[in-house]
Amino acid sequence: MSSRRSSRGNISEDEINELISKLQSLLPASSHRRGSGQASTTKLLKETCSYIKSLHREVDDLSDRLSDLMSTMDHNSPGAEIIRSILRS
Amino acid sequence: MPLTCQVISIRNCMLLASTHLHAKFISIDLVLLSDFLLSDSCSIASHYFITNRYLSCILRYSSPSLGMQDSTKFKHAILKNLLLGLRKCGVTSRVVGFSERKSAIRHAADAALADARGAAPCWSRSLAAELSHGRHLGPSKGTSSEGKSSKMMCKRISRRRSLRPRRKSKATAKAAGVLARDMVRRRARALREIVPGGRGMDECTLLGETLDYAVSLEAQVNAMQLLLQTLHAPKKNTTR
Repeated sequence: MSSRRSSRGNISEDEINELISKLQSLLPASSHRRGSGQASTTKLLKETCSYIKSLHREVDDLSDRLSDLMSTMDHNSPGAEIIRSILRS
Repeated sequence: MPLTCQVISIRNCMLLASTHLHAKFISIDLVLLSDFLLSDSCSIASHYFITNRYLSCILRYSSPSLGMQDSTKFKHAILKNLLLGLRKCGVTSRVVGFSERKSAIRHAADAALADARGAAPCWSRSLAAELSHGRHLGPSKGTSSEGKSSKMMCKRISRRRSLRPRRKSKATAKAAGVLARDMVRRRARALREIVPGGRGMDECTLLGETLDYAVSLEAQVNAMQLLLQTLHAPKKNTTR
């Protein structure tokens, strides 16, 4: 069993703490979170979940706007010409 | 139309960048390009020239991403893949409906992300597998949208679901003990739904994958914002 784990690389507790602190520093609202106890790990995971979900929503919104941009352009405008040249050449 | 001095200086900057192939130059170009496009002083022809030239530089010279250390290179790789993907989709066609176009763009963006990140992380491979099987729902939706091969791929890598602690070396056992409590497990389950390929992972791997995925998503958002900003700017001139 441990050999299977070591094929993925032994993840020691230090590495896990490092990962957790990296996640903490990544999250936007994490400045006041301290401590390595159980509760903060849970909160951290919850915040990470909502952060990733918000990133998904942002990608969705950006796709919306890109799609909007492409659909509303007037075919004769110079801006449309540029966009088409970029996306077609 | 005659080119302005600003155009010429930016053109020289880009030529310099393309010969040096240095990410730092390109990032300076990004700022110059955005500022320039947003200013009133450039003509349509220079827009065309600048944007075309800049983007063909990106397309021709950007190298595969070397890893998360160089986030600018990674962002550029995503942008490059996104442009190539959008070309293939034919999103500029008028006959395509709005939601169809939107999902094509979303699909291209996710494919660009997975491709730029490479096959190193599990989420990247799972995402690529999901996309090639024609995913119609968002990544947070149920397992029906995941291709079977993505599940099998992840299962091949890590055969067990880690819903209970396993026997390991002391260090990992203690670490897993920290992670394997009830509340954390619930959260980890939620995280598994969100990160592509999360179902086949043990909790320790899941943490690392989540970190990598979050950073990559940020780069994807930045790349798309950059594209939007670049394409949006020429429209300002049409209202003049």
